[in-house]
Amino acid sequence: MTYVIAQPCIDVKDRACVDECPVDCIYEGPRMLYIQPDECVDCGACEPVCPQEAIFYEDDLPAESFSFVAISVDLFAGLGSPGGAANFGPLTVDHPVVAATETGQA
Amino acid sequence: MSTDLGLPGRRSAVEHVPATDRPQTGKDFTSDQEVRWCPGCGDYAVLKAMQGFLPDLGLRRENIVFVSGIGCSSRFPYYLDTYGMHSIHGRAPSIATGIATTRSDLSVWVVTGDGDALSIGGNHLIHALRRNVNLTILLFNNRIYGLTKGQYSPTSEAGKVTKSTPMGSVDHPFNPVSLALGAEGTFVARTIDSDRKHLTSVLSAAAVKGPDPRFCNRRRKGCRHGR
Ligand code: SF4
Ligand code: SF4
Repeated sequence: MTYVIAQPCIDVKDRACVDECPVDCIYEGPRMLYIQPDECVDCGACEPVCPQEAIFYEDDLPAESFSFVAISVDLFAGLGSPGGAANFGPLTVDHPVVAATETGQA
Repeated sequence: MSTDLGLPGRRSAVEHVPATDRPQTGKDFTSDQEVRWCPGCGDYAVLKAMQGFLPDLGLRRENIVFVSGIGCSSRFPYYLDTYGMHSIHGRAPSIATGIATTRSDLSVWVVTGDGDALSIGGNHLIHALRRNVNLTILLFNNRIYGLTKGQYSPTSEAGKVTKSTPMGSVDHPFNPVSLALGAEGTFVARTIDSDRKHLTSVLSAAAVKGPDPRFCNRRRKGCRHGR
């Protein structure tokens, strides 16, 4: 587990991080972006460019965002390691917890 | 006239290196040191690929040695939980030659960069290659001196402009692969940090294919100072 995107990304999806990531491991869902934890190399390039400040190193996650570690792990448990977001294309569904988050609640 | 020196042949580079009898994971090869390169540096990707690949190699950790020279890439040994040595600028191939020739039970790796290997240590590199020592040399080629803020290196393209080279690099670059082939390296390959699959396949081929010295020129996508 590595860098994690948390709730401030929901319904914003600025995508600045996607351009920074040297290994193309940030995948786009309908409502937010997700970092593939096995593909992320911990380089930290995405974290400072996020205008929402939604990206955290796992150990630095604020308490209210802890759940996003499990959300990322869960989401990719089904998808595996696609090996590159650009080729893989956007995900068709969000993690159920994200999908159920009400707009504005994030 | 020449004489048969009676040197033993070797089937695989790790033939004499003891295999581990317990399963390993990437965590076993991760040291407690905080990894410090610029955000987004390709070195993170190589480190991750190496930590992912070493468990598959299946060797005892205490029989693996990483020797580096000086430069950004040369921080590598700190981050791997194996034996290692952050050595002298350009001289890692020579130190590794000593280790490999006295200890055939070690898997010996050199981690170097374009400045360290091709400029400061240019002669050490070519002679390690031609001597057919049982080593694997990884050259992280970012085509710039990143650590010292961007002077042009022996692989910088002609005309490359950097803050410290405002008129552009005036020299023609080395092609590291041609250089290694010219010195008769027996396994020469090039890969890229952003393609984990290909990078891993090259590491694994380089680690075991032999006989001798194996040279990987890993082209780096982005160094902060060379963009
Ligand atoms: S830390 Fe680096 S590798 Fe991981 S998602 Fe961010 S930019 Fe990509
Ligand atoms: S200077 Fe370049 S090679 Fe060195 S850590 Fe920074 S990005 Fe990586």
